[in-house]
Amino acid sequence: MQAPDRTIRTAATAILQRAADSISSIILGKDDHIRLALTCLIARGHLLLEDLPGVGKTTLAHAIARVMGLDFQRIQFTSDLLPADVLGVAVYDRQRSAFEFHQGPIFANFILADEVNRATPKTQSALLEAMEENQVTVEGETRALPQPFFVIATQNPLHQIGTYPLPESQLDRFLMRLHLGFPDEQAERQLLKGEDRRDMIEQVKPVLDANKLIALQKQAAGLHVAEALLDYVQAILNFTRASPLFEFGLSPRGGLALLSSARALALIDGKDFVLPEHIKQVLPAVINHRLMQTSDQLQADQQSAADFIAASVPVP
Amino acid sequence: MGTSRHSFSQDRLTAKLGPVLLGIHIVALPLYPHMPLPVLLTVVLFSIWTLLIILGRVVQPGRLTMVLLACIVVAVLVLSFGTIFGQQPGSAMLLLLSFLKLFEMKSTRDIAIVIFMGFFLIASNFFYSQSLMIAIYVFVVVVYLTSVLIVFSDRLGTTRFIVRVQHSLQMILLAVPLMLILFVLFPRVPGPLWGLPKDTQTAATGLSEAMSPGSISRLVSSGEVAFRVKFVGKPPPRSERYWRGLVLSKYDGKTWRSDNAPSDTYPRLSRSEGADTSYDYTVMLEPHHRRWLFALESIVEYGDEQNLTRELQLLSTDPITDVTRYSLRSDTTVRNLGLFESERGKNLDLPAARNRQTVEFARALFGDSNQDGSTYVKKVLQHFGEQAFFYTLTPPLLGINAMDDFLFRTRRGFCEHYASAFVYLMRAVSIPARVVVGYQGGAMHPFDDYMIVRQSDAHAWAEVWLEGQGWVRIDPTAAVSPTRIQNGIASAGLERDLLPSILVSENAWFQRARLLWDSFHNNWNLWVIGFDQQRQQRLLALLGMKDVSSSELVIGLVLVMTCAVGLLAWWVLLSEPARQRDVVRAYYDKFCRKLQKAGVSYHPHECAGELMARASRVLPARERELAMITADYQCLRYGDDPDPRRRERFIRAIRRFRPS
Repeated sequence: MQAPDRTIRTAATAILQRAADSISSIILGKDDHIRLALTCLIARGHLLLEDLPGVGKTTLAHAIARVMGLDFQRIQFTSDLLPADVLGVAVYDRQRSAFEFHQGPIFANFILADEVNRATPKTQSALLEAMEENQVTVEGETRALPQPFFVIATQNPLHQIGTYPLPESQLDRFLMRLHLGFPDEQAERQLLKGEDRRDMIEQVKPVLDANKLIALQKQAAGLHVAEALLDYVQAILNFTRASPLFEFGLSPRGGLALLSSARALALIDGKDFVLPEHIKQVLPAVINHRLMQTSDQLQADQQSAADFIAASVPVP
Repeated sequence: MGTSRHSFSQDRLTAKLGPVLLGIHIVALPLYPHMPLPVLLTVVLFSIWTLLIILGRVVQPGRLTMVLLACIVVAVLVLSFGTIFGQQPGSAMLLLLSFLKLFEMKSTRDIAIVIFMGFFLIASNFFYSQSLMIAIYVFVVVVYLTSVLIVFSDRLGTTRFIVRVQHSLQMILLAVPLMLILFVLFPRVPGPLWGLPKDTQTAATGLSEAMSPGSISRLVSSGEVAFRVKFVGKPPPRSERYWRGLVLSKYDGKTWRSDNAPSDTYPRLSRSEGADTSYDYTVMLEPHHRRWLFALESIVEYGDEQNLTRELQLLSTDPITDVTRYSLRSDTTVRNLGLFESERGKNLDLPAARNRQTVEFARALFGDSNQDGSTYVKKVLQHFGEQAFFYTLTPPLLGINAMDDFLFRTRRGFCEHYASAFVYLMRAVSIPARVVVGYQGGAMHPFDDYMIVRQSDAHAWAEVWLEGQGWVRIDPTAAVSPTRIQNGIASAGLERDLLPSILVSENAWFQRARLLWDSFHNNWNLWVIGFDQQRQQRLLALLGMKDVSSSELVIGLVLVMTCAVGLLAWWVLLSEPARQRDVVRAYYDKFCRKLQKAGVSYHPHECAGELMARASRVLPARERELAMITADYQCLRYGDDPDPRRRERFIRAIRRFRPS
């Protein structure tokens, strides 16, 4: 495609492209997913990965953290994990005769919350609250989390005994939900031939750091959104609310999520304004986990809610 | 069909047949009682056939079968009506063709056609009845049909049912001003709608030309309204409310029949002394398919459309097939003085060699009364009052000598027994007497200003000719059961389970609801059905337009409607969102139309980039031009830098664009 003449390929876009390329060299054949994960990060949202074990969820998280130059913490969620294990705990220091706060693993820029559904709801909501507020309150004292703050939570979609799947109402705390799925044949062959992914991550050089990332996030949030595009977003919201296929329509938060994701994607795309294409590209990741379907009509047609909406709502 | 999303696969269409079939039945439901048997049988046959198609047992009939079926429909109509023209054959044809259309569903448009036919079919219900019930039914069905139509015009097709009903109500609400204009201004034809005679064979409840034991007591169990009356001023007391209907003077030993004198002779009336016994009122008579009208005794003034017989019986020129309004003046003290010689014989006639015991009793009593008519009448009534006579809705059967049986053995009867026995006793001693049937009583509506007279108020009484007094009304029932006349049928001590529930129900809520409904019904009759040519002219005169002819009305109507629709269109255009008039969008639409001509179809849900990608595959040579136009469009429409040069370039590029 011919590059449109007025498109500004900014330095930001170049850096993001480089970041995406380095991650793609580790996670093979998942370019679209990597793009969306980066979009989520730029849009200051959090990501939920729903997949079977062993498809590379942890590797993806690791690679992004490395490339973005963020300090990485992994929390393995288990049924006996307590909120204090995540947030931190105040310990009495005898010498100083005072309580001293020991930060939990959540005090990092990049958190991988592995298998969140194995923890009890109490621990889950400690994490979700931290995600929502960007701060932690322990022993009546509020502590801000380091910025940028990005959580990738993974969840095993299979029904298992002794797990607590996130309730629908909490799913929309995540800006996006992605399924990685199996790699295609070519990518899998390359994966089998290639060296250990963990070592590869060690070798990759960071292209960004925390401050540059914050700057990018601000740049994305400032991208222009035209009235016509807002019409499109509202048409989508109204469609989901009027359609009998969905239990409830999208919430205003869902609309905001669509816009911020589309802005981040436009930045990655090198545009200085948002296009309906951007909305359509983020649509499945942003809304599929926010809509409860009333029947299995769409599943019977092998369509996701986002596919159906994108094929129904006219673009203004 | 337009775009691919509009067309349905045949499977899906047959799946939709079920609701459509049900829809037609709902629309046609009020028509079924008026349709002859062959038509109904065809309806059943077609319904079963459609069900078999839905179940997949039968395929849709082919073109030849369809032609054959159309011929069968015509044959059924000719068999049933003898013609295919007219109001009944017409609505029957529409009904059958709607079913036939179900057999050739090929696209969603066919469903839309059936729904449009449904609008006509539902309107044809008004040929048969214009009651409030039917109007409400039609309204609900129209809202439903419109909501179904919205599905087809809704490109998304997934709007919730309740939202569709809301839209449908909104649309109908928007049409209300037009409806009101049409209702007020549409020229009215005097006489029945469309000038077609109404079906006269319909069974109607009400009095008939003949009275035999049981014919009135049967009516009493019906709570149906016979007529409603609106009085100017106060109504007369209950005991004076004798609504004269028919005069019966021929008796064959069992049945009393009417024998009307020619109506060109006028009755002689006595002068009224007191002015406060005259009443002005308007009767709203429910259709009973007969010619007689009901009037308070005794009538003194009536309209041009009615005739009065010399028996003081009021007749309309045509059978009453619609709710009919007429205004009268009556005076309860006025009497009919005229007795013609031919009438005298008729009113003395008795079947020979019957009821000997009765005749002997009458002669003896007449002798005791010194051959004086008035005294004799008093003695007979006294006899009824003092002897063990009972007023009942379930009298025993009477034999061939009915009067002997009744007067001396059973002594149980309803008003027709007493009236007929009384007249018999009079005639037995050569006093001219006759039976009058009609209604006695009627109750004021508790929270509306009119009186309701029900079938249960049906009554029979007697009239005797007394020298010097003229025809005198005697109600022998009053001698047996005075409460019947003073307080009405409900308190006459009759069998309560045989009386209509509206009269005897103890449930106050039920009573109120029934009466409230009656009030609605009355206003509907008064203001909607009763809005005839006269009222229209009066209303127009009030608006300053006197003597407007039908053609002038039509011209005015067209002008008013054009203005109304024009204003509405203007308003809709103004409120159309600004984006529709956006120049950039307009040129982009032009670009899409040009692409469409070149074989690249346009889908409204596609983004510009997606369209370009598709177009580039179809027109690879134009890829550069397409990309330029698309990029410019995206910048102009979604960007924030309104560069006029880019805009000109974009417009120029589209004008020059020649894909084919």
